[in-house]
Amino acid sequence: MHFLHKKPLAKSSQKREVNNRKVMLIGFPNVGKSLLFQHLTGRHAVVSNYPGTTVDFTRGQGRLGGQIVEIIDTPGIYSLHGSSRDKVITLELLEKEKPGLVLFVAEAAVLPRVMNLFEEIRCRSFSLILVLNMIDEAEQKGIRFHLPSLEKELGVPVVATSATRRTGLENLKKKMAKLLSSPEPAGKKKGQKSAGSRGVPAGWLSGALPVRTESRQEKLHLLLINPWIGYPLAFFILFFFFYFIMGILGAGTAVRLLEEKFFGEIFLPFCDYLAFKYISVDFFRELILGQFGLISMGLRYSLAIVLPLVTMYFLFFALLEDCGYLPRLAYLLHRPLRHLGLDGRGAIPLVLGFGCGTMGVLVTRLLETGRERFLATFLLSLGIPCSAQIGLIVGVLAPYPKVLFLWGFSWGCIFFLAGMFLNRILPGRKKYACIEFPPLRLPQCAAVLRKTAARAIWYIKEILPFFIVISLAFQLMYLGNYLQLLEQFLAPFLQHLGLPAQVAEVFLFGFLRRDYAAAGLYDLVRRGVLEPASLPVCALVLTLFFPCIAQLVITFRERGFKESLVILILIAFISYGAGYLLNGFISAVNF
Amino acid sequence: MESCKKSKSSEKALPLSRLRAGQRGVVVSVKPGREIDFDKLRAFGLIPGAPFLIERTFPALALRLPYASLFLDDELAAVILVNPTESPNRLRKGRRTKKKFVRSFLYAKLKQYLCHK
Repeated sequence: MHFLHKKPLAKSSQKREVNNRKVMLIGFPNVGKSLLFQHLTGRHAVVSNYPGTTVDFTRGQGRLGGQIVEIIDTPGIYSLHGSSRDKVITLELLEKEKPGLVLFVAEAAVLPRVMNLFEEIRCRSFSLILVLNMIDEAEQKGIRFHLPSLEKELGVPVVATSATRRTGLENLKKKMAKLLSSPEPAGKKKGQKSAGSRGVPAGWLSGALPVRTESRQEKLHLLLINPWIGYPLAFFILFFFFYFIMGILGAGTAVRLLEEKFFGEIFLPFCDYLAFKYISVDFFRELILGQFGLISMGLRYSLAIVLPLVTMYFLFFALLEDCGYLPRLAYLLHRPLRHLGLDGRGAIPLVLGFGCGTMGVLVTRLLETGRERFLATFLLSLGIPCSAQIGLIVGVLAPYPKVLFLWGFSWGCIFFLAGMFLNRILPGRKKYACIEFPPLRLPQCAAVLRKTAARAIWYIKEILPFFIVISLAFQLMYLGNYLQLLEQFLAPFLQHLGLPAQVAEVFLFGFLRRDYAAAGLYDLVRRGVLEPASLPVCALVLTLFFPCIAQLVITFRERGFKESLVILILIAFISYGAGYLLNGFISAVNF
Repeated sequence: MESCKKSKSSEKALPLSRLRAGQRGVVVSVKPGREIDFDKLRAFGLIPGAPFLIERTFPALALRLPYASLFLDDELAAVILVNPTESPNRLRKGRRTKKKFVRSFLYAKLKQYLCHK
């Protein structure tokens, strides 16, 4: 019986050595820790309106009464004991960092819910401040707090704040500075006095019987989760967005304006002029401005084609996130996703994956078990094209509605069949899902814009180097005639799919970067190399094929070598098989 | 932990999954099981004695508790025992009976079809 030999827990009465320069934010998911962190440090952390936005801890520095302190933001937890990743991260951090002060952040309107976790942390005798965040929402609901008596009851300082409206922050900073400068944890003595009444005060949680209120929020919530309205609405929102905004406005207008007008007519000729003037060696000039050159391809594709699409997607997603629509979407998608071995929460990485698969893979951390994370990562790699790719594919296929439909239909089928199959054969079982609806809130313009900008900058920082390196590698391969060799090698495979050999180029791009591939497809169609009849096969295989290098790297990092390899092998078989079948179908019915 | 011993009130307790949308009740107990994250249930306030209101039962069970609004898996709803406060006119059929019914119906059809052949 191994648990008998476990080390005894650290005694709570023992004096701890604490680091008075460190402050840690702890609390439930979705109570506004990250926003508070932002205000305290001035550093940006991504903030949304659904539980589990912060999947790793973030550090920042803040100034408190002339002193610089390190502030640590942690992922939200429901309890300190348990084996889920977030809990382990938070507990390890608490033990390792020994913060001089813990800010326990709670949503004011639902304070009784957090008391268990609050007690668990207070038992560890850190000096503690209880931050009642979102006090404005509580006041709107008619809940008022008498802070001095609450302080007396709990034995710790209590501060009411509203991080979105920036109220109460000065008061919080003052109390933080005071507690950090006093050597003895202030809450300790009082905390021991009330030790007899540990746990939730009796009757707090049972509260009043919930009644159906007729507030606008409640009505909207009921409408959104009503399947008769919710499903068409979700379909309409996504369709409207992908077809009109991404396909027509994004891939059509914005890309054409940036790519053809700005890059094609102004920027590239200017670079050409400079290159001819200053670079005398042909080889280097080719490297920069050749067919796959650094500027002519690397910069053009990343900045003129991909960036506008991704930014638009991030803007849209930020709006959805902040208004609290995503958990309602999770509710609607809960049942279908369970067939794929996920639950409603799986909708969030999958929908985010439509923006950038790399980000989607990172967000799979909010799922609870390794099995779910594996399944979600697999689905992201196989069947979720990123916004740039989807925008361009829809843009290319938009003139042929029949092709577009065929592509969408077969893609959906393969996605679900593959997911269900893998769910069946994969061992292990999942925990029962129990997911919260956060309140619906009106998104704040500034917050949405800031988040979009932060993500766009992340994208440029993370992705631009890849683009540059890849275009360099391609140009070198092209100059050394290796590209033709690879194309020749791939040509027979492509013939089985009924595709011309030039498509090999696109597929190679696809391996390197998915959106590159779609941009290559765009090019091929414009040049008339691809016929409309072979378009669906090409688009389908591109959609299903390997993820881009950035996503691959993250997948290997998150899921380990073995699992990632399994994912890749599965994808290779599935995408090729699907293309083969679709080609057979098309030639059989004479499309 | 959360599952209390059978008391008077738990004798007429029903699984949560049997209730219909719009019904209210009080949680009596939760059957123990490895698939259940009790910390989370406690954090949402889904504990014995908590009153609730069922908002929807399809596509998944959506509940309102005094301090939270959430949705559950059907399997989880089946192991949460509750006392409905209003006496229900008609309960939902259990998941298994529903499945059995559909299956027997399909088998009968299939048999019919095969016999005709």
